[in-house]
Amino acid sequence: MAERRLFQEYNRYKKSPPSKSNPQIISLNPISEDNIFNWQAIISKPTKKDNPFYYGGQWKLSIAVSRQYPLEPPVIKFITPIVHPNINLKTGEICLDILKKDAWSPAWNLEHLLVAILMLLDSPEPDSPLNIDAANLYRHDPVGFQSMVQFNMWKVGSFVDVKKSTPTTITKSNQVIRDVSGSKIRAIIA
Amino acid sequence: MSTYEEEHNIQDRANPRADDTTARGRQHATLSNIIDTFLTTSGSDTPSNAYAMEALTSALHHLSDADGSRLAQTLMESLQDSGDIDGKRSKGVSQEYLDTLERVKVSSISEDDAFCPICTNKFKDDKYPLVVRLPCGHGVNHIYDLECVGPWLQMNSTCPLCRTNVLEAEQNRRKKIEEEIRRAKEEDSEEEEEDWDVYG
Repeated sequence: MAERRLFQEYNRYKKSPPSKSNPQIISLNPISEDNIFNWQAIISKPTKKDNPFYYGGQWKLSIAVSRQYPLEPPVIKFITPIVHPNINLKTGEICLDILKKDAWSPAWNLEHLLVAILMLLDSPEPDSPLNIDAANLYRHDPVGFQSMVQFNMWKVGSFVDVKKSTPTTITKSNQVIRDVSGSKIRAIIA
Repeated sequence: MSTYEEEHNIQDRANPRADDTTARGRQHATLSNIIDTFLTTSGSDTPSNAYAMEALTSALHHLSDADGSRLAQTLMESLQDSGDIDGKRSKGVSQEYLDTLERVKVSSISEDDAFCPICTNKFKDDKYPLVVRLPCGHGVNHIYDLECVGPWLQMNSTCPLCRTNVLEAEQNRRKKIEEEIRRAKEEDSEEEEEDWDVYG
């Protein structure tokens, strides 16, 4: 059942890409068509209007779907490091109730989850933090939090080129994404 | 004349356990039917499930003792974990409950492209559809393939679309019906009393 449902989702995303209805979702697809259980997605917050802290950023996510899907939620992690009260900076683990078995619903799909994660970026929940420092900063010093977020985005190079692209015209060619393991990051840090 | 039991050097199981009316039929379980009961009744606290669980655990125990298999140990631990979870909060519904869910005829579904929210297949594409409606109340029409919503409800008794607890919804519905019946009865008896006043 998991396989069939995933292929159906994949076909639907191919027909009408999620980026059409929600420009903050740049891509959502299986890493390779040979394995429908491993997906990746890129989400973004292009302008300050989209988000006062994370504007100009974009992040890559890994989505590991279990064979029990949709009875069990997929495991979603940030591959691009992000400073956020509810996201582990090192592992990319996300603290979001609907990603856990208790609050997940089988009527949701992968696109719904990306929308939920985009909303988590808009409204962090400092009371149940995975990144305690970020939570404290967010609670007591929003301006400092914003600088921290932007500094980290600069450090890992996860910017959308805002000048060249507006929310609706982001294409794959102008994305700048570097993974934690990517050599480009090391070059920047060094 | 010697009895069958004496000839075969076994105890008469029928007599000493005559008062034990439950499950006297086939007592020995094959691995396949242990696994079967384990899979089909998983989540419900039936004695047979506990029995299957015990049998599986002891089988795994043997395995890990025999060759120190790590796999057996991990399997055992996960079995215990799942047992704990089931024991502490079995939030799902029973198979009986699933059997009593309201069936929906596919021909009665007005939308042509109505689909099951879980598998996202159209009901009408299914050759042998078995569609059920959950008792969510508040005038919504939450229908699913029984095949899809069944396993979910056995783990979690909420409607995937609106999170209404179907067990509670069902209870409330029954309470309402009972109350209505009681009220109707009371009215009846009041009327009777009045009648008595008139004619008595």
